[in-house]
Amino acid sequence: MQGLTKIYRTESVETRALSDLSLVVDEGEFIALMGPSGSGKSTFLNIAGLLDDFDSGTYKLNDQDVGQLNDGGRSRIRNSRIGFIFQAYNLIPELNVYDNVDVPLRYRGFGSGKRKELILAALDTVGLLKRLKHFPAQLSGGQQQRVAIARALAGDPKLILADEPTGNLDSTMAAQIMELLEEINTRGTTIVMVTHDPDLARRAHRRVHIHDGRITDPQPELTREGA
Amino acid sequence: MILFHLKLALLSLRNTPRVSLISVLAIALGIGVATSMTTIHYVFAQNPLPEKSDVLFNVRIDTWDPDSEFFAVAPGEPPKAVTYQDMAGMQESTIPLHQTGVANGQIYVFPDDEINKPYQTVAQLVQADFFPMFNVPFQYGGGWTDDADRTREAVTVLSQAANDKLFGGRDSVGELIRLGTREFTVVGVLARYQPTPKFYDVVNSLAGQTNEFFVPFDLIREEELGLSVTGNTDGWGDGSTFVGDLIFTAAEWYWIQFWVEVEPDRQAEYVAFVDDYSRKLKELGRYPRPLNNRVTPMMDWISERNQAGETTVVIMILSMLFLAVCAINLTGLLLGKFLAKANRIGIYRALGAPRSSVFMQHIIECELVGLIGGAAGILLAMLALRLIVRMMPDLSGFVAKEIFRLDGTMIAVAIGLALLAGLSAGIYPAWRASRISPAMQINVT
Repeated sequence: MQGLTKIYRTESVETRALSDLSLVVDEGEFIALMGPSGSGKSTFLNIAGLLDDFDSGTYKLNDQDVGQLNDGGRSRIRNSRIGFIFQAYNLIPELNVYDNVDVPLRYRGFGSGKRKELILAALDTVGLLKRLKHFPAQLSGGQQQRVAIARALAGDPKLILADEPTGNLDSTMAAQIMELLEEINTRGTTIVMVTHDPDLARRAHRRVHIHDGRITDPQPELTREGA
Repeated sequence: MILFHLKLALLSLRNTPRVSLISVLAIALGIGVATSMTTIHYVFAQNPLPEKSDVLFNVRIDTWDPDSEFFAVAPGEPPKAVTYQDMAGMQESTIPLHQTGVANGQIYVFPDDEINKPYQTVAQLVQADFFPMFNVPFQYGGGWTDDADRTREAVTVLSQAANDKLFGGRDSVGELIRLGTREFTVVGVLARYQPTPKFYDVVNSLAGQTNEFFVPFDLIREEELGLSVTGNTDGWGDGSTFVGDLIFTAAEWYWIQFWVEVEPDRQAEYVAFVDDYSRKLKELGRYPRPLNNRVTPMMDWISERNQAGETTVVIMILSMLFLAVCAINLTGLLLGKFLAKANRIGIYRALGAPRSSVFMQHIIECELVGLIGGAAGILLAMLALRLIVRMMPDLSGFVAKEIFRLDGTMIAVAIGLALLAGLSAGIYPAWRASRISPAMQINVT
């Protein structure tokens, strides 16, 4: 990302959520993004996850300029290359564990055999193979977050965006989730994690701070190609 | 993918039972009203004999009183029936392939059994051509011959209902049944026959039940038989002609619906014949009015006589407007429902659903509401039609119960209307759902 600016406008107020933000993330990195409330973390994640557009600047994902894509193109990239993990898990309560993990794979257009293979592999990774038929309400917070991680993982994304993934969990659960994310990262998946917790942030490869919509850490190689 | 959308749509309906119920009821009510009203219109507006309606004509000539307009028709129209003498006169023509008069005659039936007591009935007076020209279906036997018409033979064709009642449904051809003072020989038994509208006798009975007995027309002239003209009749002129056989041969008495079957290439010739015929009457001094003849195609004649048809069009349009109001209300309900689950839509979008997919998912939900509502609406329409039948006055021979029912066509129309209502109600809410910004909606806490 280079020189990204995002401005929210209402009739009377203009809020600059990101201001000339530049950040390079290498493939396979584990980044912890930290910053106070209102600093632009969520806006950053939304734009990084192609859930929102920006006013100016450049965003390249695996060398592809994604800023100019239409909705279909952005949705395809979101579906195939990006996994989301939310603080509130955001599982679909009416779907069981298996079907929740299935959702992004359905949009990907995979056949049922391949989907099943991917779902079981993802649930195996998070240790929930025995909970296939359970519904979210029947699971603990930690288990729900593991289902969300399995859902994010199932499509084998290159990038996982995690928004306070342990924010709703107790310390034991949080530690388990962090271990899981680290394990996923060791397999080569890039992770960008927003967190307020300095202890968790220390476990990332790199800590990046955001303040008033800007990255305040030095960015050594802004001109190079990358994500 | 459609199945996936369907599954999510079903879950969404189950998840919001109250809104789903109200949505389904809105469609059901609209479809129930629209379908029942459309059924009534459909019954009255349909072509009862599509394979022949373009070669069948009702014939009328205007020999009415020169000093007054005929009252029971639109201004300038000739009387709605013809006199016996004009029927006989026009039947001199050899242009029609078939031709028949149709009228009603009251007579007593004397069944030869223990169960059925003597009763009065209205026999259909027709000529031999009636059966082939109207493609009347037979279960047993057939119609009678032209000779039987000429010699006023005591033969009869029974309706299926009459044969069931009097002969237990067996092949009664050759059996005798006493009508009036004579023993009639059964020559044919109809298969199920209930043309709607009852086109050949639309003047007397738009939706009447098929008469139990069909008898040769000229038997009406057998005074001792006990067969007397009934139904819609009008007359004018010399009162002394309204007695005995003169009523048929001389009276200006309009009581016969006269039908001809004419091939397309001879239709102009036949119209010219009718005009020639009335010109000759004029020359004889019987015909004081200007030429005013009608050779009216079957469907035009039905719609001319079918005042119920116009009313049912209005009712049908009103019921469609009611359905539209239901659909508009449904739009509001669905919009509220979809916007309330913006967070859920945001999740689907984050997981890779393009706008088109979100739109499709919600349209399928709307169509599901339409389909379930449509099915409920069909049940409501059946109930409504049953109620309408119950409320119908007990007109003679009126067969509301048999004709006001949903057939395959009307069920297909109902389902089609329901899907259309679901679609039109759902397009805007589904579009709004697809435009929901995922970034603003995903619950992060």
